[in-house]
Amino acid sequence: MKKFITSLLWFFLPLILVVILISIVLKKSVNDKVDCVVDEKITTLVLGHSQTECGINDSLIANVKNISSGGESYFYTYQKLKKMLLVNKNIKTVLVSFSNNQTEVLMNEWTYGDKYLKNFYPKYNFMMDSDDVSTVLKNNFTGYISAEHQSFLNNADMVMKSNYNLLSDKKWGSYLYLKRNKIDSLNKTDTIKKMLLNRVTDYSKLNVDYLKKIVTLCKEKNVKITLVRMPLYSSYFKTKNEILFQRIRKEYFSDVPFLDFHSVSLNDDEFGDYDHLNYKGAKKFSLLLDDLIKQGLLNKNNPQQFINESLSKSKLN
Amino acid sequence: MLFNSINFALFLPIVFLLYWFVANKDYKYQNILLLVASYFFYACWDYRFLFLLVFSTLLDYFTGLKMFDSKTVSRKKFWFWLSILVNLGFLGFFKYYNFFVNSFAEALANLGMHVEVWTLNVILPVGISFYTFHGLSYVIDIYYDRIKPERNFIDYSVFVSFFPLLVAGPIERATHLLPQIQRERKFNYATAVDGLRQILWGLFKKVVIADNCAEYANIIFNNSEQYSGSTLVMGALFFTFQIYCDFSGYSDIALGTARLFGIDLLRNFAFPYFSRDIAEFWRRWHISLSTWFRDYLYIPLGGSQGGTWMKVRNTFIIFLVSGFWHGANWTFIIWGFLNALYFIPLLLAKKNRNNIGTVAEGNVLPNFREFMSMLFTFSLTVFAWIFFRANSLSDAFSFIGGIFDSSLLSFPTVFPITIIVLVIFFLVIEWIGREHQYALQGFGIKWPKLLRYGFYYLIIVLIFAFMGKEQEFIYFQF
Repeated sequence: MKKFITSLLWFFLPLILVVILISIVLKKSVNDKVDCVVDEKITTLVLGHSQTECGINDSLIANVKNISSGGESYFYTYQKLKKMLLVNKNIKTVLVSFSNNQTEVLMNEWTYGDKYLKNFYPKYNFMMDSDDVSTVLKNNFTGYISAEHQSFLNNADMVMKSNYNLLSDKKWGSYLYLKRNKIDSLNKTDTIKKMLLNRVTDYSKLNVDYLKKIVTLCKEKNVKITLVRMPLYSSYFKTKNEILFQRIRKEYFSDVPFLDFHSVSLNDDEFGDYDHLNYKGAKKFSLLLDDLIKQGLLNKNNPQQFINESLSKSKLN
Repeated sequence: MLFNSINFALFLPIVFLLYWFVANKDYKYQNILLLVASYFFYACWDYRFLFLLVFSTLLDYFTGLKMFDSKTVSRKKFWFWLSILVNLGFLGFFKYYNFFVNSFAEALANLGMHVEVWTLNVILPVGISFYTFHGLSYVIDIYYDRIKPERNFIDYSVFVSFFPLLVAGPIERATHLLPQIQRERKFNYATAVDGLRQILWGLFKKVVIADNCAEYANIIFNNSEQYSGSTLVMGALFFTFQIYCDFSGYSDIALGTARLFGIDLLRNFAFPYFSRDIAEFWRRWHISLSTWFRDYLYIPLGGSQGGTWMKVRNTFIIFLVSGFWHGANWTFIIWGFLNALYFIPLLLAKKNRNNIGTVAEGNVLPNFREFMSMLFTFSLTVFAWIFFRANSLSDAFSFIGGIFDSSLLSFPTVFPITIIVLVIFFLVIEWIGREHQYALQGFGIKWPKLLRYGFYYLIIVLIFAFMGKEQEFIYFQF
């Protein structure tokens, strides 16, 4: 038995060491060469999950680049932003999606659940620090191993093909042209009733902590950060735990400007579903946002009041 | 818990170390450990079905004892049929209920009568066909006084639930496995190394060949109307390698894992695609199931002892039941029927035992005749697999119709060169190792250690590089 264990160790040890060594070299190589430089004119970045991904059409807003990604928790957004701010000195403002579901406990799953790890971890693995890695490791060990394995393959592929264009390949996210309109069909189901019965009461400390990290990072880099809540379908909004959301916002992010568009009045056919705008809604909302930004929204002392006044003038509230 | 998962990579060494270092004082402790590990392994899929497994184990354990202790034949018969009916009842309920109800409704609809059918929305418990057959063989053997019942419930439970074979076989026999469970097991270095080598080869077959072929087979079979005849042939070939590497890969991992615990399981595959006729193919494909049907169905029906009519009838029965065992779908039944059609001419001409040994034994290459026989048998098998893979009979017929088209002579539009090279590499290794229990068993054994290790590293690198497109083992659904 002793001979068997020793032989096994001698067989696997060199293999494991070589794999670890190659993995480190690949990560460093990708981190050094990754191309995430945006056009010099771009001064504002939009980050977040699918709500900003589908709702902000950056081709309609001057000097804005949307790199939101559906299903992305703040853990991954933080990694992306860290790199973006390091290589893009022209970025002065960051808009980060801040919606009810981003405070909910579900976000833990979005961070280290198997499905999400497999999708997001390989995109950002090469720039994570040890704290980030240990966050994943201690919450989902087997998922972490799978994600590291996938990262190894992705990094090797990038190095072999010399293709480091994460932004132009939209691997880090972009505006998503959503064609669907499911409001009518959803209204025929009891989705809202079920959501009301299952209203979330727990929040994700992990996601909130990483949003805090995002805020701190922006302050360190002297970049203005603003939180944005996108338009939501009114009956859907009522299913959300607004008290929890507001408590978190006031407790941790009271000093961060918050633009609340949840009650912007849009037609049913401008929603893809209850919490995503489709291309029609995105067009209307992006033009409105562009107009507000041009009017100095991001520099107002009370931006929400300015939004409310503008909306009432344009009859969108 | 899949064999090709990280969970299993953690589970196996833990159980292995506990088995040889903690529970090694007495084989009874090792059996308790194996039982707990096996139930944990099974519960990782769906803990609710663990109750079904335990119930099935209890049923066969008690009916086995009751039969043996029965004073009268009628009493013995009662316990025997109770076990048979309950076992088959569960299998029928979970696996075939919807099929029978829908088929009945369709038949009535064809007669102009429309009935509302009530189908069940239940998931098939993983491995039910395998552990039910385990139990059935045990009960039948006791009934016919071939074996005595096992009185130790733990030992019997390990026989039914031993985790390497629990969900997809091989289908073991009490005469083969129980004696191994009832005696002390000594660690053997050579056996353990051989077990690891078999696991490595099984993983290669599953992860590198089967999962990659599956991707292309799925694309082609699910969109067959869009592809040329030559591409459809590629699709059928991809499925042919997928199903073999998926199932025989699983069996290799199961056998290799069992060897780590000092237990030998029945061989399940013996290079079936190198068979020279269909009878040889069936002696080499899913051996534990084929021999099960031979011993518990074919021979009791009279086997090939009677007249021509009886031989033909029994052959059809065994192949149709075998097809039906795979699933409640007409495609499986037609697959079984086709194999019976292939087999019967050999049986009638008394040529079904012509090719008993290994092809081209002792030679590097086969002769022309052997090569042509292999090619012909392989082609028949590929054709039958089309029915096995197709979602419905009409899909299978339209797939076949699509093959025999002028586009058959065009170059296939799906031709993944990397996968094809890997399949050729796999076939070469299988051919070289065809005289062993599994391909890698004797491969490179006489090479210098460094070169041999280099080869194993290459296999590991290939597994590592291709892992990720994880697909469930096909035979879990049966």
